[in-house]
Amino acid sequence: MIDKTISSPLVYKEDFHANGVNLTSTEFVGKLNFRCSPDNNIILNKVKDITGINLPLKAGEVFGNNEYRIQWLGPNEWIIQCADDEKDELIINFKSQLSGEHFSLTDISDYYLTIRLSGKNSNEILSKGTSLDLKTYICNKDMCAQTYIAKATVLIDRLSNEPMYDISVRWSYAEYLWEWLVDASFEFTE
Amino acid sequence: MFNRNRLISGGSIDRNKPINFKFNGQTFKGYEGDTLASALLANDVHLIGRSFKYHRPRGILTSGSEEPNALVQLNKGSRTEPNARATEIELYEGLEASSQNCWPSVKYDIGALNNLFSRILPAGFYYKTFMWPPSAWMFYEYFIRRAAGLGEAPKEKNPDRYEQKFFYCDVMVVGAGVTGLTAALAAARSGANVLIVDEKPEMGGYLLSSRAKINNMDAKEWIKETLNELNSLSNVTVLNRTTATGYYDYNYITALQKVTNHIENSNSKLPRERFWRIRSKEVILAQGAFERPLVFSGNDRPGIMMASAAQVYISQYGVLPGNSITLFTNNDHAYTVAVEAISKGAKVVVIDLRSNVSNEITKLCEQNKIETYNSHAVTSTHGSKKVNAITLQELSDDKQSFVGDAVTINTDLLLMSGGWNPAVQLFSQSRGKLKYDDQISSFIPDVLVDNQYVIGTNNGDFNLKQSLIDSLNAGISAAKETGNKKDIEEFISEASEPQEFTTSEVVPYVLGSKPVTHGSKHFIDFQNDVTASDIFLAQREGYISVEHTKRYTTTGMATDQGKTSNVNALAIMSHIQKKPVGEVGHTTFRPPYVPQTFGAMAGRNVDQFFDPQRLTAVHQWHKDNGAVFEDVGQWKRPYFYPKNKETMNDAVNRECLAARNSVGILDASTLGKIDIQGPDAAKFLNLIYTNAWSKLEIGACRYGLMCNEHGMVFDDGVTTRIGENHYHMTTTSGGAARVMSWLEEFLQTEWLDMKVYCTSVTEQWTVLSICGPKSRELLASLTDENIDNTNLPYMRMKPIKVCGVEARVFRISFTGELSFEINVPARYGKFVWDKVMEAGKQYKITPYGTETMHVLRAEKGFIIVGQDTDGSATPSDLNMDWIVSKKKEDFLGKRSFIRSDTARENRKHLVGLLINDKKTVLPEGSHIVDEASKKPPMKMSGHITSSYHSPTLGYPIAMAMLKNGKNRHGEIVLIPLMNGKVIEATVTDSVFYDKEGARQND
Repeated sequence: MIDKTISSPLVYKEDFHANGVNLTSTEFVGKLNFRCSPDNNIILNKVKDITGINLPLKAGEVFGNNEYRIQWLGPNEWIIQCADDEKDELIINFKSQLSGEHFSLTDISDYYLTIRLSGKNSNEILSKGTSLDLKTYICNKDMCAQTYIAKATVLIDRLSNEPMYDISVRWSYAEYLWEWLVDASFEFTE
Repeated sequence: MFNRNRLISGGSIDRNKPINFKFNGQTFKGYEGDTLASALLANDVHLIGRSFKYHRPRGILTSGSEEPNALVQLNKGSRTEPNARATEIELYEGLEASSQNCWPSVKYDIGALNNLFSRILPAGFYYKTFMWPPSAWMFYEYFIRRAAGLGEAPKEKNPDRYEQKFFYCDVMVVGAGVTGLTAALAAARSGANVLIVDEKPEMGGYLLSSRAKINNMDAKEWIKETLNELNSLSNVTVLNRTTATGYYDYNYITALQKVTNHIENSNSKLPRERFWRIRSKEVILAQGAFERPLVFSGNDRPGIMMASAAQVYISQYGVLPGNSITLFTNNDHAYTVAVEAISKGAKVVVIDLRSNVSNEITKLCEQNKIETYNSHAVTSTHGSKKVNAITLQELSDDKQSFVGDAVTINTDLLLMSGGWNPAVQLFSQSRGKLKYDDQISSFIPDVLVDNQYVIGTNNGDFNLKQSLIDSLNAGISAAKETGNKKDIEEFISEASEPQEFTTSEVVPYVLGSKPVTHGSKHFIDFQNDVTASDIFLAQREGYISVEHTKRYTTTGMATDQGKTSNVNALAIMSHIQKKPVGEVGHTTFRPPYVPQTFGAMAGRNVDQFFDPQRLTAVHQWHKDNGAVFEDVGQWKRPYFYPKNKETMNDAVNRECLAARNSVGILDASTLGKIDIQGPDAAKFLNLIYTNAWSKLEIGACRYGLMCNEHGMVFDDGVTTRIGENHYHMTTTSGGAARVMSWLEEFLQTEWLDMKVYCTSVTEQWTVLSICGPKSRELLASLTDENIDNTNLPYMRMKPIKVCGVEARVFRISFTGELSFEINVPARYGKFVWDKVMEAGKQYKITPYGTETMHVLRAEKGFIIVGQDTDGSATPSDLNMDWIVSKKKEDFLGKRSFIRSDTARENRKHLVGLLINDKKTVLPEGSHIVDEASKKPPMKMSGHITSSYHSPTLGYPIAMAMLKNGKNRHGEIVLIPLMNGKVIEATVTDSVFYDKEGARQND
């Protein structure tokens, strides 16, 4: 069912396929920007209690389970992903369980939109736009990195050992990035 | 006769695949595997173009990318390419090329008159000749530019696609000659990730054309075997047709890959070229060497060629460019081509500058029946469009004069070899230091940069076997440095080359029949028409530094960057200055190594990808409703919405009046938004903003100014207290990223103990700003909440549902009207906008753009940071002392307010201006003067920052920064316009409308 109250630059985009390149736009998911001190064990333990997973503490790590996925953004910053309809509850839960501790939790579910890139030529596409060394970074599943693709800042999260990436891009750049990715796939089109 | 110079067999061309191409309109035939140069030579075409300055006939000098002479205009129309080197163009069906810098044709060129007057056109002639009157230079230049020149740039947009690629590897090898291949294979077998690039379509380098043996195999066989292995390895990337063009810090290398330029009328989806941006942990340079021309009189005629080039044309392309060949040399290596040519049926005469040659060479000549003249020089050459004879004469023992009589012999091809120059250009770009090597009389690498190797002839090592062993070790060592330490077998056992190059003496110039300084045609730089006498002239006139000589004579400039000319020019300078070449020094080599297309450098950053367009959630609606857009940073914002062919003025007037009298709506989503949380948030805001934040109640909004450390205003906006320790800050649209970095900078570097976290939420929210007397009625119809003036007063925020969507509604106003800023999560932005428009119909809701917003705020005297301020205005300059706390102990910028310059009285202040004629809208940026004179300069006392016609007031208004403006209200100032008119205006307060603020507070 199409929810007519909802729109985004990607929501009605048709999937794009070329030889070894698949682009799809994903549904809205709950995305909460979480910031706290990585040395605060009380918070670290509570996050584990609430989500069932540890906050990743190494650069570029991603931890996930069936319900949540936590992406490392910086030494004191993460994105906690959850089901879209559970995000409000999760915020309330965090705020009550972590009361008295210093942290911030901010709903950015609409701030970032996500494009999924998969297929055997995915790295060819990425290497046209990002200066990251793809042999060292996001080279296996559950690794993420913040970088540029062409002129848009992005968060790239690798979902599997086969090339499959969720690329989070700011709302206003989503149209640009989608068009750029389609253009970059030109040499792989029939 | 087609292909009269083509040999029956041999070479890498495919004689079963003929290719038709056009040169200067005439159709020729070549074969697959040919270059344009080899195909033209096969057809006995030697005259390719006219030289840059003297329009002398020129032919093909080399067989590689160093070619200075054979430049052609390739293709036509939008795909035309100037200065393409015939030696680098692969032949394809339908290729069209033509000569450059000649009119009406390459054979009969009017510009060749320059040649007759060459005595009065030496280096630097235009610095002297065209100096007077000074104003006429532009006039002279037009003719000089037309008389001299290279090819023509395309006038149409290039339809080709260019891509870029970032690439990382352990070991990059530049050049796939036998040494490069050896190093690459050693590194690859050791386990490293290897990239090897070579500019030619066929890898293997010069030894593809030689009779060298490696491991008892023909070099060609060995090359094939090695390439097969490299291609089969998954840790190796092999790129042919790829030239490393730039070598920057820390082994960052750019490379240009020709992907489809060699394919006819390519309909391929592959790009024409791909620009690689490579970072390699270790770099091995194996670029080889360039043969050095000899500097003798008339050395530039078509049919005069480098000896090694002839070797390549014979062996690789099956083309014997002449039948009666003369070889002019100073070293042993060049004799290989004599042997090669004789084996193909040519007659060869060798003229050797040396008095004594080795027994081995003497024997070789006897065996092959080569006629030789030792201690002889070519003193002049003959033939108008192509060499047909040369004059030679025996040199004295000291080589300073002649003995015996001059002899003229017929020849149809003159080959020359002055030794070899290692291709150190890329090495030099990397900041590697060079030194002069006396044995080979050329510059070789001396001090390497980190993680770099130079091998083979590129390093000045001409012994094949030793070079290959060194290359193998370089490959192993480079791999080891990157952690790849697999033990490998030594795979080079034996290698040899006939007549190996060992030594050559540098010959500054060869004595000719005329003294070299008297306009003799001893060419050094073929591309720029620089002769030996130009170097003499430069030295005489005091341009003795190598950099000065280069610029005065233009030696080493243009598309070949002196690959064939530099060392010879230095040798002449050394001869004149009587000091060793090494002490003369050399010029700096810069990227690109070979000419590089702009298309490749731009890649796909063209058209809609040149600069991203940032779009709001309501963008499509704006487009559908005829908005004209304004670029604000990368944002596309509606500028105004013209109806029925309205002018901009009409549209803005209509939009302004609607907002003042009924209701207007603005998409304000681009405002920067930052979510601030933490127990120290208020303390933090107190330091960031100039005013006080401690007592702000939950739900209340406050306007704030941010100053930098110098006390200058750099951003403003409204910040709202959302919860106990939770604030929502807004910034200017263009300043959002700057403010975010500013906040993070202070939290991360100065106030480490402060418990505050900031998160950008700009794009989380779509912001619909409705304003005007009917805006409350409109909003009330969309929500169940009570939003009257008591429940939602001015400068308050209330979380309510609007159209069923959770929203934050702020009662803030940038227009001076009753106004509500409705913030909803971006996904609902379009939905809520549509609902508001629908409900607003009965109030004739009017969408307005940034121009109307600017007019409305100017009527109220609200500043726009970045328009009314320029980084040099303090809050006090803007009459905003009221917002600067006197009580706070500290905030950013405070200490600067007491600096004498910041505190002085007569700074420029923000004022309003009422134009006395009540009709002129002053151009923004106009200067304000106290006294007008007929023409500039006039003493300036200020400038206009904002200026509009105010539809509400019915007359124009302006804001200005005026010296001592605060104290000049009521005075009349003058604004001279570009058309000579002088406008009078009266200085006033900058608030023009509703000074009491009754409308926004109501």
